[in-house]
Parts: sequence; C-alpha cells; structure tokens
Amino acid sequence: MRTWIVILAFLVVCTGCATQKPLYQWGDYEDDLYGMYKKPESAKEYQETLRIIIERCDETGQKAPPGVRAEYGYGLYKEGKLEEAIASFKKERELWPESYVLMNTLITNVEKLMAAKQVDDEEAAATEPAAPAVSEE
Amino acid sequence: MILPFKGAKGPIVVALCLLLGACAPKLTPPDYSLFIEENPGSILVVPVLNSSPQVGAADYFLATITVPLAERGYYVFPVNLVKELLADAGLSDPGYVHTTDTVKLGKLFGTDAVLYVTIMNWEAKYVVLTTTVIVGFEYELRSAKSGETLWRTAETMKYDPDYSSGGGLADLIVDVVEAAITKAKPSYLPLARQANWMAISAKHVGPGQPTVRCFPMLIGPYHPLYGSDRVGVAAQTASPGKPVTGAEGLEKAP
Repeated sequence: MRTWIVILAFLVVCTGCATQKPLYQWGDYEDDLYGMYKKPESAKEYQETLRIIIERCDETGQKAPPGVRAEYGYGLYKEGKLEEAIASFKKERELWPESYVLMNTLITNVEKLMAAKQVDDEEAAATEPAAPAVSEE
Repeated sequence: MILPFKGAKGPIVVALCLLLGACAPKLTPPDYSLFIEENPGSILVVPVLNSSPQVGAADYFLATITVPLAERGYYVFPVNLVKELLADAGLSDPGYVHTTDTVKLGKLFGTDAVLYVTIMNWEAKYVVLTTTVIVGFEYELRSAKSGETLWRTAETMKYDPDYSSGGGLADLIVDVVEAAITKAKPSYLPLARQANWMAISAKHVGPGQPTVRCFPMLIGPYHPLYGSDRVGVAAQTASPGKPVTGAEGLEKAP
C-alpha cells in the first residue's frame, strides 16, 4: 500500500506542475541571452530586456526573478556605471539572501575600483597645474 | 510483466503512466535522501560542457536552464555573470570547470549546490524536407558542502519540428513551411528549452520527444508546492550510508 502512495505521489507531482502559474516574469530573457551568445554586439538588447523585466516587476510589485538584478548590475558595471552597478547588486542581495557572498564580493571589488579611479583622478588633477609651472622655467 | 505492480489497481497506474507520456519502464525512484538532508536552496550552473560535435550547442542549453530551475523554486545564480567571472578567473573551459573541486568552487559563490550539464551527443538525420535531431544530455547536481551527487538524470531526446502536427491539409502546409524555415535557419533553442524543462521538472513545453523519467529534481523552497514531493520520498529512500544512485542505467562511466 505504501508503495502505491509513493507512486501516486510521484505521478501527482509529475502532473501537478503542469497547471502551476509561472512564479516570475521572464520577458525575452532566454532569446536575448542566446542572441548575445550568437552575436556579442547584441549585448545591449539583453541588457534592455533585463531592464524591462526589473521595471515591470517594480510596477507590479512582483519579485524580480533570481539573478536578474545581479546580471543587470554586471551590465551596468561593463558600461562603466559603477555606482548604479553597486546599487543593483545591493538590490539583488536584499531580494535574494542566497546571493549574499557573491554580491558582497562584487560590491567590494567595484568599490575598490571606484576608489582607485578617484585616486587616479586626484593625481591627474594634482599633476595638471604642475605642468605649466615646468614650462615657465 | 515489466512493471512491478500487483493487484487490481496495476492497470490504472499503467494507464496513468501512459497518459503522462510514458514513464521509464521501471519505476525505481532514485535515492533522494541526501538531497532532502542537504535541502539545497541555491544552485550555481557552471558553463555547459559540450561533448558533441554540434558547435554552439552549449549556448542553447545555458540560455534556457535558468527559467526551469527558478520556476522549480530555486535561487539560480545569474548564468551569464557566472560564466564571465569564471572566464576572468581563467576558467573559461567548461571541461576544466567540470573537473575542478565542487566545494571550493561553491565557496567562491556561496552556493548550496552546483549543477553540471553535459551534452553527450548530437546527431542530425536529414530527411527529404526536415531534419530530425537526436540529442543526449546529462544533468548532475552536486553538493557544495561535500561534493557528493544529490541528483542526476540522463535523457535522450528526439527533436522533429513536424512531429506535433495532427494531420490534415492545413497541417501539411504548416509542415512544409516549417521545414523550409528549419532548413534555412535552424534554431535549436526550443530543443534545449524542452530538454531542460523535461529533465528538471518532467514537464513538456514544446516540440520534441524525450524519454520521460518521472524523477525530476525535487521542488525547491520558493515553489508553493515545496515539500509536497518529499514526504513519500523520505520514507522510501531514507537509509543512511546508502550511496546515491540515479534512475536505472544512469550510473556514470568512470
């Protein structure tokens, strides 16, 4: 009898999901991710798709699918939008505690990058006025 | 008698199985006890290993793996971000990533489990108007705590864009048009999507005739039915020290 219950439970599980409503909205996620693999220059479309998913989720109050905010943040990072990238990583960490370790690593690394950039900028600013001083001699 | 059923209800189950699109001939549930014990909530999918001659097959599978896993109730690490981070770390070769230590890899990302997808073979058969593709693939979920296998499945799928037609002239025209499109620009994204859904959730989402196994990945914590598939399984498979085995015939070659 027990075997029967187990088998039936399995069958219910096998069929049960068929009527389940999707947990998240994915938009063109799969097609555009594949599109980017096929044509690296279409990375912009993938990034735009991620942005639309996030926007729709914000509008409807639905939770963004796992990884989408992290992936979007990485796109921002590659575009050089470091502060926005960090904000997106933080949002992923807040929505999905499972991402804590990875998001912390990414946030720390991007912050380091920003600090290094700032030092570079300051050094560039500091050396600029020195240049005319040399030419005066 | 192939099926280990006795009694008057046997035929009902057999009928149910047939209705579901035919389960594996022998209903031997794999050992889910370690899966239940570890109860993973997050999954890191490493780049897909393509052991077939089909160029670009790995991309099809990687692009369509996130949705079925997330819809199964798991946190899925962003596959593209993971792929790029691994490449930055000198781990761009999937063959190499698949042999690195699962526990060490898992720690880097803070994941509970790591999913390894391998495309075993890919055979295209060209018929007059259309192409039939037979693909074999394997999925293995390993614990990021111990490196042990939590779940494994292997499938073979026949993919034929014309298969779903029900007959009639309209369908015939559709078939011809479809065949023309398929010839001109073959896209195997639906194939990979179907394969991923079938392996993870035993769910049919499109064309293709997979070998159905009713032993998908257990439902994860974010799914409303979380836990519903674990009660009977725990009673059935809980036996400490027993090695994890997949469905029959899935034992991995050394």
